[in-house]
Amino acid sequence: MPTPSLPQLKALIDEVLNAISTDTGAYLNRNTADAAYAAYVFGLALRAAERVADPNSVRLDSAKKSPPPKTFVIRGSPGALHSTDQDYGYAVFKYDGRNYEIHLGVQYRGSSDVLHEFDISIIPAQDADESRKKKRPPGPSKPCAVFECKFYAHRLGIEIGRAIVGLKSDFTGVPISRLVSNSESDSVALFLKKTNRPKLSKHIEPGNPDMETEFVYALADEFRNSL
Amino acid sequence: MPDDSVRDLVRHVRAQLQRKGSLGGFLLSELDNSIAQGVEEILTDSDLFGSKAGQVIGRRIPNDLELLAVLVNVLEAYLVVLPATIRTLTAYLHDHYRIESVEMTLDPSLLSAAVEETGRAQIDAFLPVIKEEKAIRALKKLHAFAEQVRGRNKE
Repeated sequence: MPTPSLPQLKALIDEVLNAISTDTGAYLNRNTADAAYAAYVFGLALRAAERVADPNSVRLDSAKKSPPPKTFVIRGSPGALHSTDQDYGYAVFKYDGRNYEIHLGVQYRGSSDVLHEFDISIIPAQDADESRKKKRPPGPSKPCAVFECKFYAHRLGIEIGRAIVGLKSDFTGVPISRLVSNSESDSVALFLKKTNRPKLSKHIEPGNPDMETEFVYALADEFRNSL
Repeated sequence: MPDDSVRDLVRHVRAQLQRKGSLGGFLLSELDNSIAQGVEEILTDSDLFGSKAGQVIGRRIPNDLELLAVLVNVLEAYLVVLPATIRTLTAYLHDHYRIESVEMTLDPSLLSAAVEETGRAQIDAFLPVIKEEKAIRALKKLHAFAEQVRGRNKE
């Protein structure tokens, strides 16, 4: 395709901007963009769980333990796993006879006793039930997998790498941790290459089906090795 | 707008976005953040400074082509990629788990009056909607342009 001239680019951009409907039911902001992206990554984690789960064990459940939900509710901002303010959705699966739950945006207590939230986390169902019963966030050794999800129009800044490494230092026993993004960064990739740091999964988005598939397979492999 | 300035095109887009309500405001802030982030200078020689290749060794103001790419990337990210992630999720949950709707909770002040009481909105209610074929074709052409620029930057 020949490179468009500046006037042609302006015309294309105007065409797009003029067609945007501003009549939305909610406000898009940084939090909602990241939460929506995390929900998409949750779908990929679910696909990975389906690959390794015991037969017919994967299902969706919700905070109020209602019949199989027709509406799946995700958190726009982090909250307690035991919260029933809304009928928050999560996934359940069994691997090697043990039950696990996959949650979106729930908080855990770090080894410093500070509360931290993870965009996606996997926790043994027994520990999740204990958290619900005691109405207390699960502790630092409870999650088996944690994911931070970042949706950006530009490259990831190194501060994002620093933040997830700092976060992980409060959860040293968690075997699976990843920073997942539609974007990329050579510096963050280098920074996270060191042993025991979260892994970077970059270019994860629907326009990149090969990367999506690689991500799902890599997760499934990690589940087999670490759950 | 003069035809010969990329900076003027960016100013034009900023002015257009300011007329697009809260959504335009968000896209504008993302555009400003992306421009302010600048362009990373990547170390290509492994031995330089005793550091590994691939590291960022500084930032600079984008040149014209890079600035155009920044502009297109913002539009593409929020008008194409993010909506695609939502469509992928909702289709998957519908096809595999019979989920009829995916909703997100938010502070009521961030929701429209119609859904304020429930404290949540359909996940696609957050996203800009572009239905006109002509605009979708324009987005595809912008995407192709952004791909060209990305290809050039990798060379």
